[in-house]
Amino acid sequence: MDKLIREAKKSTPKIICDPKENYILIKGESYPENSFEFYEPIMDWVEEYIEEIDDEMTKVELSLSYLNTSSTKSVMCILDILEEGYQEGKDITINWYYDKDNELSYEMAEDFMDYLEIPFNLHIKEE
Amino acid sequence: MKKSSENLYKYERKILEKAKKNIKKDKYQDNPLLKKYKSLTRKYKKLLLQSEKILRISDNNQEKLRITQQNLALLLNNVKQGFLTFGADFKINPGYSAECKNIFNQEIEGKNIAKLLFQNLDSDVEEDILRSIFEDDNSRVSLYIPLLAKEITVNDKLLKIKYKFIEKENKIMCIITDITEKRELENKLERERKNLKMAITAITNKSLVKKYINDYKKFFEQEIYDWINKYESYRTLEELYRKAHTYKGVFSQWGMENSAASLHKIEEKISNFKNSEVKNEDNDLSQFIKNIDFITFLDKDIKIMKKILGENFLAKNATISVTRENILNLKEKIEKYFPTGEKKKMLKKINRLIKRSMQDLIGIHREYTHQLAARIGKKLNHFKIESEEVMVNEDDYHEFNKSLIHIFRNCVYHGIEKPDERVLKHKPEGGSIECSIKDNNDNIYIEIKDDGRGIDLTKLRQKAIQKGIYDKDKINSIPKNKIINLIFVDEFSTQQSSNRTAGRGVGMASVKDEVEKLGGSITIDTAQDEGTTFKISLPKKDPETAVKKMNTNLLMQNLEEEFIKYLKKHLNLDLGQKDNSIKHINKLELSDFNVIINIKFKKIYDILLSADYNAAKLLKDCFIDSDLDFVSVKKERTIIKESLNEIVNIVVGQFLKALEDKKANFENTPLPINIEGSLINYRSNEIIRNTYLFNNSEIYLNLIERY
Repeated sequence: MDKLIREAKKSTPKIICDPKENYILIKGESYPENSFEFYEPIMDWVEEYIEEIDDEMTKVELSLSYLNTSSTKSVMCILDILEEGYQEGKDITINWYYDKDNELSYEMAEDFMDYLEIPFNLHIKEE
Repeated sequence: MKKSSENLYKYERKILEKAKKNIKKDKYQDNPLLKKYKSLTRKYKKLLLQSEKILRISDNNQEKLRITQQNLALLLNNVKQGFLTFGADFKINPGYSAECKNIFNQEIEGKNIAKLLFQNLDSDVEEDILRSIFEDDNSRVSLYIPLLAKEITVNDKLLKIKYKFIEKENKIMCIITDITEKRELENKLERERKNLKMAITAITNKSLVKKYINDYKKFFEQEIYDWINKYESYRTLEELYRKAHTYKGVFSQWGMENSAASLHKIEEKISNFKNSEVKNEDNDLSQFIKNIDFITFLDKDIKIMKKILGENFLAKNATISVTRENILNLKEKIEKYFPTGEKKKMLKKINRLIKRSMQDLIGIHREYTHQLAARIGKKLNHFKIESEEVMVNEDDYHEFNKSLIHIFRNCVYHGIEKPDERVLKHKPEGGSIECSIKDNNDNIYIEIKDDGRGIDLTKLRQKAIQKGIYDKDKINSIPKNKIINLIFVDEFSTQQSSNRTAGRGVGMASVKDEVEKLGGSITIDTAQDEGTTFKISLPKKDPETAVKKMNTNLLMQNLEEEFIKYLKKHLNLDLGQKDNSIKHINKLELSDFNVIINIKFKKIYDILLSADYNAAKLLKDCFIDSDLDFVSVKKERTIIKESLNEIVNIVVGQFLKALEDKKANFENTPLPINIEGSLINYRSNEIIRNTYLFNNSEIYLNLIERY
């Protein structure tokens, strides 16, 4: 399967989906006019990826400083897919990077964490 | 926030609870749809959960955005700069910073930027440039932006504008700073600087400024009317024009900006009048001149001078007086308003005008001297300065005063004994140092006296023998003051080992150096166990005579250089210890052989070479390189004389040549003076005497400045 890469744009985050490295990254701000259009190919990719992998360790990195509501829903869908995979026994870890100066960004991370039953690590963004 | 979202989904939660209850109800257990109902309930539950989370995250994000926006706005609105953006339609976007409203006195959303900014300019040009920025290739934006007006006037405010093209949004951002006050301040500063310059010119050129102002007033208030009566009008006009032009130049040079600018205008008026078609009658000319105000602007500049230098600055008496306070104020202002380089130059000028008491100057050594005594285990009871009021220019005496530290070190280190030693000598435990400063009209006398053990003459004598300055068998015939003066010879120290406080043997030489640079002299009195007194005499001087003395001093340095060079190169003679001093003496002791020659270099100088028999013989021997043992005594003396004459002639010739001044020349040929042991009397002239000691002989090289 192919790599899927989207460079960061004004209203969409940077996306890296790398099947060889077993690596998924979503980084930046997300408030596109049509969230579903942007995230659908990513959801499809993740679904396909989960089916294809066996016991490889997959690393997911999320570093999102701003999500509008529809993006939040889309990211949740992706996390749902990953959670299902985890429940099927795949080795998946989620690393969430938050801004240490921003209380709200930590709360957002916690909310995502609460929702999922999957290894979920919180890290302070280094920059 | 969590609570609000919980409440928000209360209704959905009820539906979920109801569904869960339904699943458990017995009557539905056999229902074929139960399995699907269960799955649906589970999915409903998940969806509800998800919705709640999304809501919460969304709310959080909104809050975060709001805070960010608020902070940004706070930042933007509190910076004293206006920020605004506009697009290709030239309409100002909402969301400009608060300062914009202050600057433009109105809300500016939707207003046309070109009309707002460039109302006082040819706005077509600016609009064209703006249009090009939006329409042309992005890569050329950087060419257009510098073309836009950077400083504009709106509502009597001077605005500085920075433009930034935001490519991503196809907008231009303007950062607007109100520099009205800043510019006013700058102008004020510039005016202040000019005024200070004017004041400095006024004090440093004292009488000249006063004379010019008086002459100016006299001419334009009176003399010009005499001209009208006496001469044809074209000549009067010429003179008027010439005078205006001259004074314009002078005043401008002195920083009298108001006067210079006004005179420039007057000059133009005169020029126009001169060139006008109508032939002017004397009457018209007289009227023309009467109509010109020559005085008001000058008074304006004078007023500024007086403000800085005091009301009495141009008072009627002949001297211009400025109080110390005025000068100190001036100094303070210069410190404030001028950049470093210029500041230094101006402060130097001013410092020449400020006098300090000699007592204060010498007083700066007090603390160090006490500290030094404490450090080396000595006791110092008193450090007294008794002084008449002697005011001097600090700059002139700075180096000298600095060198005095060597005397105080010597007093503490070598003079004053340790407490126990003093007690044995029935002296108080603590020593004392007393300075006295006296002033007669020509000289300043400074005495520094300690009550220590005195200078050990025996040790000095031993050292002199050791260093080969005097012969062992002759040492006792050398007068005491000559022995003491050895202290001033470079690297002559009686201390066995040197340390950082004393004993290097260069300290006293440097005191002597500094004293002599000022044209003074220093002597030492010492008595065993009673103490040592350093007596310094400094001529009082104003800066102008100081320069003159420097010239004589410099002249001596050149002369000496030639002398030593000649002896070394041609006679193969190396002069030993040098004891040079500038002496204010009016008698010059002659030695066995003396040759005098006059030279002219700006003034007339006598150069006198004296040598005792041994030295003169040595010089002669080297000069003619022959043995004179066989000739009679009389014959030998003649040859020595002739040799010395020749040496002086050559050395002085070289010296004059080295001066590279065509006007420097001999006044006459070298003249031997025969009378041994006699004196030449000079009346209060400056005499610089260099003494060279070698092989127990002495050679004196004297430079005498004649009046």
